[in-house]
Amino acid sequence: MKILIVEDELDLVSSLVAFAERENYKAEVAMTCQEATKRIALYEYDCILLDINLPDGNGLQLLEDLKKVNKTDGVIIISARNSLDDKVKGLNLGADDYLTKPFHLSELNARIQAVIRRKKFDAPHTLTFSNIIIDLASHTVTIGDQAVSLTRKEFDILQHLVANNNRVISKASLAEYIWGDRVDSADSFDFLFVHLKNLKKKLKQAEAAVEIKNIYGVGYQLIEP
Amino acid sequence: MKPLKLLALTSLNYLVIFSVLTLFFFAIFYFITKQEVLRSTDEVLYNKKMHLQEWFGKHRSIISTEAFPYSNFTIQPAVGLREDIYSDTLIYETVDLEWDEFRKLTSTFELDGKLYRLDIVVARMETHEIVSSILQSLLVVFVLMVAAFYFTTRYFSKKLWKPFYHTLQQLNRFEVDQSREIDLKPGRIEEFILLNKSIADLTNRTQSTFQNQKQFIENASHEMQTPLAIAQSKLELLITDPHLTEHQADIIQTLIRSTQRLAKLNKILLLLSKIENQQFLEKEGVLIKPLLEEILINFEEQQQSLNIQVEISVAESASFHANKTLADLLITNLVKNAFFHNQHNGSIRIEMRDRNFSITNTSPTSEIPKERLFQRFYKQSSAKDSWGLGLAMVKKICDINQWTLSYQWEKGRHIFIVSC
Repeated sequence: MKILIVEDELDLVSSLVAFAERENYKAEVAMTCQEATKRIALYEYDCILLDINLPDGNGLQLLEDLKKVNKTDGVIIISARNSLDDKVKGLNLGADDYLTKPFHLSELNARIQAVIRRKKFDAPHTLTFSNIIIDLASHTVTIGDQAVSLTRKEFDILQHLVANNNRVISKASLAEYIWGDRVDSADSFDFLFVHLKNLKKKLKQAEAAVEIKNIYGVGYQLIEP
Repeated sequence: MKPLKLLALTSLNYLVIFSVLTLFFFAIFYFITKQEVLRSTDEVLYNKKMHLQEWFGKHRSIISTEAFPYSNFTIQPAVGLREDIYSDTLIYETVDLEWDEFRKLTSTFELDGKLYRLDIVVARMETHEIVSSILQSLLVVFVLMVAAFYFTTRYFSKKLWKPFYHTLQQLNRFEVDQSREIDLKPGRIEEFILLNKSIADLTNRTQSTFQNQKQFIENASHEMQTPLAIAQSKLELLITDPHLTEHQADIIQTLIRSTQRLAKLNKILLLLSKIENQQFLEKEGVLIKPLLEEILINFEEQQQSLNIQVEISVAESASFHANKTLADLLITNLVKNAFFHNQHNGSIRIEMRDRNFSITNTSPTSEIPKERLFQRFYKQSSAKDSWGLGLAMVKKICDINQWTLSYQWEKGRHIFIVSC
């Protein structure tokens, strides 16, 4: 799996590279439009993380150039400008997704996986970890060969945990994944705890061969013990 | 004191000045005319006296006036010679039994060594008539002139001040947060041209300052996004470190929360400035009920933990004609508000009736002072995760859609009503 990170902010680049390594992605970096154009012409990438504010030009221009050579597959725009115009323009130009800074790495990971899933035509719309199979199209979960009924939020939590399996997901990013921007109260961590408690109970009942570990109250990690 | 209209005041002032002046000139005219009439009457008397004296001198005899009882002169013996005296006198008219006004000339003369006094009278009736008829016609002229003057000055003043009133109207309609420029008509009057120029300069400056300010907030918020992204990603990398100790995890947890809060605050500020910068223009019919149900899912935990009764009476077809993002923000913030300022076993009622969308919730807090309600960063509670920006945003959304947002406090319930 090869990804290209087009980003001019060195500190953010180093985070993204560390993240990619941990996920076993092969990451390459371009810090300018020019460099990115050169790399894209030379190599094939599964996914391109594209910041649209670059020192030597607008990333949207780069995207337009990519569209001409039909290489927009797998582009995720990363922008500090949470502007609807840019988003619409970017998606119209063939980008797969649009992420606004600041973003959670687990969220980015889920988006990258979705992009890659979309690229593989024959890939089933499922996420698998251990004996858990999540069908994203029908919103169903199967553990072993037993269907498990989950509430909408439990399903969302499990999906995010499976997509980021073995990673520690911060409570903040999990809460944002579930409630989005709508809820921003301190209570949401307590509610998250309740949902996780119920989810753990259901997983245990269904004999899932996984464990949701609580990492010192900072976050959760889905592992195969 | 009730303010006077400039036009009324100038008309009134002109009218007073004009009336006083006209009356003054009329009075002078009247006295001169009167004087002139008197002078000619006296002249007639004098001429008559000269004729009579000449006649007496020629005939060397005095006609006894008794022989002509109704002649207009009398002759009597006099004691001494005296200057001619003109005087006004009243004579009783026995026919119609009234006193008539006469002008009298008393003169003394000598004839054949004897002194005589000659009194000649002339009725003043004619002079009076002349003067009064003059006065009458003057009065008519005066009234006509005043009327003509009043209406013409009014008409011209109105015309003259028209550009001024236009400017005033434009100023009234002017809003600093709108990009529309003020429309001032070019005129021919120098003062008004100068005034319009000053106003145009001033409004342009205010508008551009305001624009810059808004742009500044938006840019600053945007610039903050990248460092926030860096901080957040580094912290998230850090928690995946297997050598993390519990104490370190605690610190990181605090940092993540703070970063999160900063990121959210920044997001809200960005949203607010975007709403102000009119970046959500596309409007559509947004069905309220499905949107509301979708939003409420996010609050079901609050609802359950506080055991809040939620009652919805919104017709399936009820809709807002608005931008979808803004409609979502509006309802989300009002719903959020209703949940977070609620109490155990409380209730929330959401209604749409006659274009009035209202949310009513029970609350342990008292009435919110209206003037501060929609102010940014006004917080009633000391809740850590609230900035007092939600209602400010709701107000802004209502403003740009030209809806009115009102608040009522009724028997321990807060009621917010959006009338659209």
